[in-house]
Amino acid sequence: MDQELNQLIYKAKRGDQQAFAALVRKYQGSVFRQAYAMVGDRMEAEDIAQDAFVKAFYAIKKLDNEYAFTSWLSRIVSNACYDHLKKASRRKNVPLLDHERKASRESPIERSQTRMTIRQALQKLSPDHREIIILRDVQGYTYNEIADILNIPVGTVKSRISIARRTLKEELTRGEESD
Amino acid sequence: MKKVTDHVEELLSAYIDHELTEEEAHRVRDHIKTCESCRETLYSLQHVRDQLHDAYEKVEVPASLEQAVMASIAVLERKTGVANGFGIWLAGVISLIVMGATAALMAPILIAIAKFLYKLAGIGIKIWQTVPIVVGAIPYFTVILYGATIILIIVSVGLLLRLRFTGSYDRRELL
Ligand SMILES: [Zn+2]
Repeated sequence: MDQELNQLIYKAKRGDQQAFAALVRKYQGSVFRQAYAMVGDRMEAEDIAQDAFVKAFYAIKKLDNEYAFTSWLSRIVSNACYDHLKKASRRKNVPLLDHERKASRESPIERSQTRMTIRQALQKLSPDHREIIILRDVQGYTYNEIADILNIPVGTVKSRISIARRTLKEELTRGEESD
Repeated sequence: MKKVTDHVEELLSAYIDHELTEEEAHRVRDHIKTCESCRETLYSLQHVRDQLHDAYEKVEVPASLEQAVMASIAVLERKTGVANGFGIWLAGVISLIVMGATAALMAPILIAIAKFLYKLAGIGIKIWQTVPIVVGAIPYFTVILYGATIILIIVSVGLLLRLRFTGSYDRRELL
């Protein structure tokens, strides 16, 4: 872990807003990417990323292990995504069908494509499977790190990732067949 | 011909993540040399992994994100700051009111005590002024005077105690 990052975390833990802003600059790409992959909508992802960083600003005082900063941040983003999904489903009352949700979120260009893109296929997964495959393939965490972030056994991580990948493969193949 | 149970499909996902034990990885490598089905599955899973990685690798971050985060933190910090400031201000006002009320309640008692002490001082001065005259005229006067002073002090203390009791009684009535 580099000295500069350690310093930023140290200062941010004492409420230094400038140091925290530097952390936001450094990690906004990773945080936004995780949220965007999870909800599939830029505006919503921005809201989630913003919430996650604000939560992180207040929670960083309680962070014991500076070396686990990125995992810790990913956990906050993960929780913020779930909060958001819960709120969104409550707001809608009647959950939208997958194809309706997809149509409302995609640009006309995306909708005109008959073949399912990987982004569309990802949104078809259950939140648990989507979350875990994002942590692995988008964020690049190891199984041990994911187990730590999600607080589940490594064996569960392994089987869940396997199911998520195979489901994605099936969704994409189905798209090809109807092409 | 291999048996169906020898297929390694269950291991392929962890294999591409390098999360298998050396023994398991060896089994996979051995198996895919001869099994086309598992080899195809491996390639397609690798393709899914690569596609997913590439799809989000170059996602553009909203330009305003950092600013939005720091702005909402600033607002929250100001709110808690104002709350703290208001708390101190409120505590100040309350203690002033309490002090004022106490002083108002105590005022009659303090005045009474001051009046009593003033009278006591007047008596003391008068006695002091008569001392040289009486001392010369009456023998053993010093002894009598000392006795009288002690009695006077006891009576004064008694009066003071009664006054304090009356004072607190009055205050209770007022409340
Ligand atoms: Zn096989």
